[in-house]
Amino acid sequence: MLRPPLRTQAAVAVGKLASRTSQMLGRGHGTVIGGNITLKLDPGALQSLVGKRAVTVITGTNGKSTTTRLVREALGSTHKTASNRGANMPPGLIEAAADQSAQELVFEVDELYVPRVVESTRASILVLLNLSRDQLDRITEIRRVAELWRSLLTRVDWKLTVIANADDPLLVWAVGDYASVVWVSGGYRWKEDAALCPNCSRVRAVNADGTWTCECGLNRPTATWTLDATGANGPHGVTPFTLGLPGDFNRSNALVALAVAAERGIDPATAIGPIEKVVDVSGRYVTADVDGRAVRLFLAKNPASWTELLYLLSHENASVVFVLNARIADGQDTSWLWDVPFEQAAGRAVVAAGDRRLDLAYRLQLANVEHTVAESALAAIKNLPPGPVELLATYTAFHDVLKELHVEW
Amino acid sequence: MSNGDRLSIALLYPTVLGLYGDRGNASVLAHRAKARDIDGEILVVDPGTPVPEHADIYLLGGGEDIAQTTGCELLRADGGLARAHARHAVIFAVCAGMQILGTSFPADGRVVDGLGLLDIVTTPGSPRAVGELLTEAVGVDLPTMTGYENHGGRSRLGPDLKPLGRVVAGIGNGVDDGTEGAVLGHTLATYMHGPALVRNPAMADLLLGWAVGKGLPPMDEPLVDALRTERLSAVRK
Repeated sequence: MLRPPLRTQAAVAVGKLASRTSQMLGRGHGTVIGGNITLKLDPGALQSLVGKRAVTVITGTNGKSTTTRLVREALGSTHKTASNRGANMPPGLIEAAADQSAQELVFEVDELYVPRVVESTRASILVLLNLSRDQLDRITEIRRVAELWRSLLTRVDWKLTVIANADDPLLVWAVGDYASVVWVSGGYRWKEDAALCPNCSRVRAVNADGTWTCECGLNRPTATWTLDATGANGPHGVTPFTLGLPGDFNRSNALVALAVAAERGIDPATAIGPIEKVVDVSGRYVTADVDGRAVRLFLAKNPASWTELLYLLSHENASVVFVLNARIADGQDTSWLWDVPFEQAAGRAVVAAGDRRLDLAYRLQLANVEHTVAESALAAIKNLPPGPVELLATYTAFHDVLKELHVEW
Repeated sequence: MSNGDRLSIALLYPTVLGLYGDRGNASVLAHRAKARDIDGEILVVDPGTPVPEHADIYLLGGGEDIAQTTGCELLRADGGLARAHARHAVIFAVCAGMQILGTSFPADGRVVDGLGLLDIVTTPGSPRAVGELLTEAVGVDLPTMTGYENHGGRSRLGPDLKPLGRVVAGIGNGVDDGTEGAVLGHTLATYMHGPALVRNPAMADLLLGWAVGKGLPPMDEPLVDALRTERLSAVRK
């Protein structure tokens, strides 16, 4: 194995020391602080640390962390694999890249940092999951992200395979006429950001079966990987599966993980076992015990993810707690609440909590959802009738809940 | 009202011009009308369906550049919104919707002709205006207005057009005259994007009052009062 240059090794050593100090001071995992210091000392550290190893970059508005975890498990069935956890800008990747024993690297990457990471690591696989409205106070325009990716793909001059969601027109446009693409179709409930053709701006005609075409020539590609009720259909035939993770969106994420594994030469029959065993991802989907109540935790960040989760909850009878913050990491604008079909939450015990619980309470009121308001998530849970609870929280609210409930992640 | 006892609210192209929960404005209007025993119906107008000729209130929301351009072209081709404006129907336009009502706006590096219903010229501006927006009313009689803005436009109002408000915090129209939004007859436009009426119930009542042709009885909503107080203090802090 080639060792990284001395300068990089020294920069990593100093970064690791900072990470450990930060951990000891109880300030979280310390991954970002350490990575930042390493990159300050050696701006080329990520590239040097990755070396010639195969990198899979996973991006999209929703499902990055979960898909990264599933891909890590799938590739881990045959190769030592390292991946980052949650921190998805370049400093967050350093710790995983520094693991020189790993043969495969899997990075979840923030949408805006994709070009930088893909180009500096000369990634082998780029996974594009989906693109929808999220943190628009930071990202400003969704199309700008699609343009970034489209432009990146015109510059790729090495062997890179794109694995992309055929059901998201923005991604189909972003991929453009890039030659090496594997299309995946796992179903996608959110359509609000794709009324217009991203290529020509015409109103897009969607057929009853979900396929679509546009006069300008942009069409839904035929997917190599699809889902049915029992499992995945791909070039290897049918791979039946039953996931430990809930929700249609996670079946779609598992399908993507199988496609990545196949691209890395791993048979789906081998890859699926470790994927099925995953039951939680960095605190998401964990069931915590609060005074004898089983509380299942969901991270809900934007209209598309709230929509998927409300659909999931509408098939169950548990009480629900919604926790809304609008700090910088959540996006400071709560307008999107009005894009979410909260009407589906009617008919059960509902509590609104979090910094911005008043915004949420009014949204629930106008959706005719009876509810109460509580200052904290913990208070909300304690006020509910006995029985299971589903808790949906925005990013910072979710991490506060993990802390309050002492959930390790 | 145009349809007897029913108040009809036309929500124009929400799939195209509805980037920031703009449909919330229709919900607030229907809710506050119902509280005054006025039956309201929300007409969702998708691209390809004609803009209704006899709605009482027309709502126009925000969108990214290509959506704004396409939305504007669809409205121009339809002609219904211009006819509604000519017969003094109530129009409430937010963000990109406000720019569309003007004479021109920038999109994807081009200058696009607006519908020309309001004398507003919008040009690109920097930095992008993102954050809480707080204004005091100028063109109408309303209490302090609170909202969120996220736009890259600078909008200059023609000499005969009144602004909706004067900026206390935020950017607003952004042309160094401290103005925000615009009012002309029964058309009200603002950079407070998305569900602007949620935090500004008096603005919702002003639109409803115009639509029904009389003032509305007061309505007590402590939750909305608390939400307003919280937002106002967050910005003034």
